[in-house]
Amino acid sequence: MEVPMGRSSSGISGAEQQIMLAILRLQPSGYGVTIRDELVSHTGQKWSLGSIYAAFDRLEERGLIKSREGEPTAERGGRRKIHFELTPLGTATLNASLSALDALRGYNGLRTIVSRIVAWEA
Amino acid sequence: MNMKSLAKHSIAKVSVTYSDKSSMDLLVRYRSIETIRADIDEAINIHLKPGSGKKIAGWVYDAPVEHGFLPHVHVAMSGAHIAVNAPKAAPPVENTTAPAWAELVLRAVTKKEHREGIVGDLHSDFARYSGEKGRAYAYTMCLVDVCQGVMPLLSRTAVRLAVIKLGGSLLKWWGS
Repeated sequence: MEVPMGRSSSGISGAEQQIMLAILRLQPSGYGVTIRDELVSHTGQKWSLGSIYAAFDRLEERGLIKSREGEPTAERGGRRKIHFELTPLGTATLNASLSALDALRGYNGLRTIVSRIVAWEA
Repeated sequence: MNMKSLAKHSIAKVSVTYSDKSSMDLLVRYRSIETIRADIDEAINIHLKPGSGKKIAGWVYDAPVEHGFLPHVHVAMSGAHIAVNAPKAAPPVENTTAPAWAELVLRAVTKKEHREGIVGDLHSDFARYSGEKGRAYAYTMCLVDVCQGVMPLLSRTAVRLAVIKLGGSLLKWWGS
C-alpha cells in the first residue's frame, strides 16, 4: 500500500507515531490507560489521557486506527474499555513514516547492513 | 443468628446475608454495648434496627472479600438486629470514584464514541492512585490530568464544530 508522506495530508506527527507504536505493541487489547502507561514507560515523558484521546480521535478520523468496545469493570466505575487497533492503512502509514525517519538517519534497515557485510566478505 | 454473649470484649461469630443470598460468617468483638452507633472498623458500621433496644459495637476480624454485594440484612443478637453496611476488605465505593466535575468536564469535550473509555480510564486511574498513595494524591493527579487533557480535546471539538459550521454555510450558499 503506497502512502504519501506529508504531515498535512496523510503523514503522522512524532506523537502520533509513538501512540501508534504503543497501540501496535499492545494490540489487540490496548486501551487508554495501558497505552498511556506504555508510552510513559518507554518515552519517559508525561502523557495526559486527554492528549492521547485527542490523538486517537485524529487517527480514527483518518482511518489509521479503529476502536471497539470491551467489557465494563467495577474498577472503571462500570464503564467499558475502548480498545484500539491499527488498521491496514495505519500499519502502512506507520511503516512509511518509520522508513522515512530511517532514511533521514542514513539507516536503511537490516537488509542493507546484511547486503553490505555479504558484499564485503565476497 | 442468635448471639448468646453480649459481654464487652467477647468474640462471637455472626452470619451475614448478602443481597445475592449468599452468606458469610464473621467474627465480631464487642467493644461496647451502650453505644448508639459505633464503627467496628473504618469501613464497617453496625446499625441497630429501630426499637431493638440494645446498642452494640465491635470489630469484625474476618471481613468478606467480595465487594460487589453489599450486605442488606442481618443477624439477630439476643433480640437485637445488626446490619453490616460495607465489608472491611474493600474500600468504600465513593473513595475510588473520580470527582464528578472531572467526569463532567471530560464528557463535555470528548467525542461521543470515546466518552465511556476516557471516563472509565479516569476512574481506573483514580482508584489506582487512591489505593497506592491516598485520596488526596489521586485527587491532585486527577486535577492535573484533566487540566492537561482539556486543551487538546477542546481543540478537537472546536475543529469539529468549525467543520460542521463551514459545511452548513456552504450548503446554504449552494442552495441560494
